[in-house]
Amino acid sequence: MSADDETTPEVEPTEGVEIDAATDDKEKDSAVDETDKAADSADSSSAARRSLPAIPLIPAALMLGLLAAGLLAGWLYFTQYQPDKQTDDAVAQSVVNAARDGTVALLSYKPDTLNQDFAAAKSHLAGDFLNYYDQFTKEVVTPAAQTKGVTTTAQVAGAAVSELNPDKAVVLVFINQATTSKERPDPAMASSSAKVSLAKVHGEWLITKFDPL
Amino acid sequence: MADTGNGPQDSAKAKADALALAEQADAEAAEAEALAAAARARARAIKLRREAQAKADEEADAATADADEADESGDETAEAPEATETVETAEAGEPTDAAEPEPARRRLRAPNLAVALAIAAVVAICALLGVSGWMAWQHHNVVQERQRAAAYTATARQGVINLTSLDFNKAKEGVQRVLDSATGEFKDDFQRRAEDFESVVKDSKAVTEGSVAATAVESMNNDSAVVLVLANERITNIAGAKDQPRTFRFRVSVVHDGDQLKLSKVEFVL
Repeated sequence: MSADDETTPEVEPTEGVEIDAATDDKEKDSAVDETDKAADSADSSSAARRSLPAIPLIPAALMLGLLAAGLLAGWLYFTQYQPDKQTDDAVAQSVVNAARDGTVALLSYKPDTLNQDFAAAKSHLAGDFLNYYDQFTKEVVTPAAQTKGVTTTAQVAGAAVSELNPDKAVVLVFINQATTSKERPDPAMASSSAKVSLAKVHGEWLITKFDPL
Repeated sequence: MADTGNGPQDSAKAKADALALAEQADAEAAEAEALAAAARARARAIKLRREAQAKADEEADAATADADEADESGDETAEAPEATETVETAEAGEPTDAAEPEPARRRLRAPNLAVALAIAAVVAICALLGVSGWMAWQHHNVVQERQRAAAYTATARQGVINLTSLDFNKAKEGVQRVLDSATGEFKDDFQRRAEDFESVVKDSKAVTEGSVAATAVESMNNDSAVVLVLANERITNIAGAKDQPRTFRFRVSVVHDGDQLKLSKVEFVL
């Protein structure tokens, strides 16, 4: 054991010497290489200078292609794909549902629950029409409904999208309305039609216009 | 007879002959022996010669071998410096070999990165073009669907106008117009009542002028659609109506009939 310990350190220095010698050799060689490289680089740099327009041609073409493809994809996405997605069948269905629910809420009220009914209706409205409806129900409908005891119930007989854009839509609604009053307890049936304009407000479709036809 | 006469002589002669014969035989034997000896001697001589030759060859080989050995030893001594030289050159060569791959690796690494970037760019371009193609295709489908919806709507609109625009002066043509734009269930139905319809129009001297106030596609698939149509009609008749407005709400089914679109169902929305 001790003999091995003694012998191994004796070997290491010699190895170290050998390694040193080798590294010395490498250094020398690398020095030689550097001079060679200098000569090479001089040659290659002149060669690169000669073929300078040829080397960046492919990367430039790729970058241009990437840019063009990206622009094309972005343009298609924002001008076609996204608007199409915002006006697809699912959106059309939600617009129709909003128009149906809004129309029913708008035209259905009972004397006992006028305020709740109109409040519920106003949650389906937006913009100028909301202000108009608010004013109209307060000044005209509420007094009349209370004094005459008018109860009206609206039903939607048919509704379909007439126009659809990403942020606004027009829905054709066929309305059937049954109205009773103290004077006329038998329900008076009335059928009408309306073009209901809606707008997308904070992700929700709200009625901005109600045009009877 | 003579034999008998020379009996002793004969016996002597015979003796002599016998002796001579014996001597001859001996001589012959001796000769044979001599020949055999000679042959043996020759064989031995050949053998000896061969051995001698072999020995001589061996000796010669040995001599040449010795000479070769001598040459080889001479070569070895001569080659010894060469061997050390080659070893030295090999050792000297190794570091240069080890040093050379470094710039080679550097040269390789840059193209590898460039190639990887180029491949990534190509893949990205292909992916973007693929997505673009898909989006364009999707949009193409949407545009086609809109065109189909417009065609269905136009057909429904024209069908409803035909239905609401009748003149008692041209009742037959009016009815035929309606039939021409009809197919399936609606055509059968209308054909059945065509004569009654015609006579009612004629008898009431009715002139109706229809217009479409609004249309909307309620549902649609590849070869049919259901369209809501709001029609206004002004009627003048013998009963006293003068441009009296009437409103009709229709739910119209439009289908492909050959290469034409026709109304297959017309119902009032009550």
